[in-house]
Amino acid sequence: MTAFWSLVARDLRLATRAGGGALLALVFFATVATLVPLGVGADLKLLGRIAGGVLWIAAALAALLSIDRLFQNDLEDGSLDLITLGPLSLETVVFAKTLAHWLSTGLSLTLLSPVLALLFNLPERAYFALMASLALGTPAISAIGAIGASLTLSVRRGGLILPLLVMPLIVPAIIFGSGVVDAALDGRPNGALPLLAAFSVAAVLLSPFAAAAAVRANLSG
Amino acid sequence: MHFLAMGKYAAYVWPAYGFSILGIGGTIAWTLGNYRRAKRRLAEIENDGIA
Amino acid sequence: MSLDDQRAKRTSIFEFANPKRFMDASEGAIPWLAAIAVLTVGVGLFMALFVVPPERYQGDTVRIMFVHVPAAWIGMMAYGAMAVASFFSLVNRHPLADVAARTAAPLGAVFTALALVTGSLWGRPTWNTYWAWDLRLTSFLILLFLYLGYIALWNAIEDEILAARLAAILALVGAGDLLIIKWSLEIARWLGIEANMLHQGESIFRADGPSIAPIFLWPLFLMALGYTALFLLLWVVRIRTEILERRTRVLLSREA
Repeated sequence: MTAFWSLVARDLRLATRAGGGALLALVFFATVATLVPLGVGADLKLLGRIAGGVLWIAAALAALLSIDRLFQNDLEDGSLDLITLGPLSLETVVFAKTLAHWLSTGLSLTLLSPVLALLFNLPERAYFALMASLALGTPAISAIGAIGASLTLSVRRGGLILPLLVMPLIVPAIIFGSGVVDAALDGRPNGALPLLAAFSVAAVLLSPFAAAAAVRANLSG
Repeated sequence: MHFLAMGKYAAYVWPAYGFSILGIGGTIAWTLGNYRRAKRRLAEIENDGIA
Repeated sequence: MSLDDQRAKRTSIFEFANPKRFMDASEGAIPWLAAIAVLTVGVGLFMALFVVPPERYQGDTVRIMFVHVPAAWIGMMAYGAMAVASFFSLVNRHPLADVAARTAAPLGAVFTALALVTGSLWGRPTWNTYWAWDLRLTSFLILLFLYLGYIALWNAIEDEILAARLAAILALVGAGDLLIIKWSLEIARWLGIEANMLHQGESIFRADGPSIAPIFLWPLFLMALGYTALFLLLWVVRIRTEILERRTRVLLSREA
């Protein structure tokens, strides 16, 4: 158990230090959230209605900014080989790194979101839905991002192709996630929430297997 | 004339068929072209030795 | 089997034995597929343009259905074929499975793009919009991007055996994603959620039989059959092309 948590802690440490990506995600999130009202115009009613979708997209993009480094850095300095020789299975390693990634991006984005929602004049009743949907959905973003990162591990400048691979896969999360916020705005019963939860659970549970298979293929290549 | 006009929907029906024919026809041409080229190249190599 | 073992086995398969069975079988199949395609598409097109009457509500735009729906079906079928081939590629490591998966992708992409374009042209006069973000249409756009990503991944990795393995993983992940979208549509309906259903509900594959009049159904099935034959024909030819190209490469590397 300690091996698992020390890997999580290590990745978390790397992510939160300068140039590690955690701060970048927050800054990007805040920047997009600030730019959209400027671009769209100051119609507060409109902003309130699009807040869910915009914040969700911004959060997804922000979370994916540093995902290409998930395995890349470790591969380059040789630590990936060492880690795979360690006590943890590759699937567990992937899960640990994904968890650390979420803690450094998705979680902090979720916590920042209410502040940004203020900029959008999001009605009170939707705040909880926004945070809940982000908290529930960003783990899926990290998990699916990890699959993309593992597939593009050997690709030179794989960061270019990674968004193309990941984007169609995370669309359900974005649709369901913003749907949760919309349902709260309209006062409808929230059917998107169980859908988002199911998607997230499936993504988080299955991604370590796909990503580990891809890492294994890349390492023996 | 009525046929061509497609009951005033000509602007939608004919492009739809046009794109379909172009798309599928183009794909057929591309696929066959690649196939013939590959066949020719292999025949050259098997006959002459090196291309 | 490690990738290195696979590499050794792969060169031996292509060095000492052509995939002769496939080449022979496909050579026999091609004329049949071509004949079926020409006949069914020919008759189907004729019926679609000259025999079918304008529909009560949609008028002549209903004719677009005969090129839109078959294209959509093939777009989905090709991905299914790609996913199955990818599965066998990962499990059996059969080299033909890699080739089958790879060659299906561009075909699937073309048909999916055609479905999107023709659907858009159908939607404008009938529902007054070129596009709508309901789950059905959106999942088709996602399908197109999945194809493009898959093709891009193949092209981005130089080592062909590694590329085959990774692309297979991607194809299966994408398949899972598509299934989730499909099921969530079902679940949403079951939960009574309004999922912005602009796209018409299932009107053909229903438990109590199709809800479309027979005069529309026959050309539709003919075109669907024709499109299927076309897809299979193109797929088979592309696989043959790939086999020929690989044999060429093997011969060249032997000379060198």
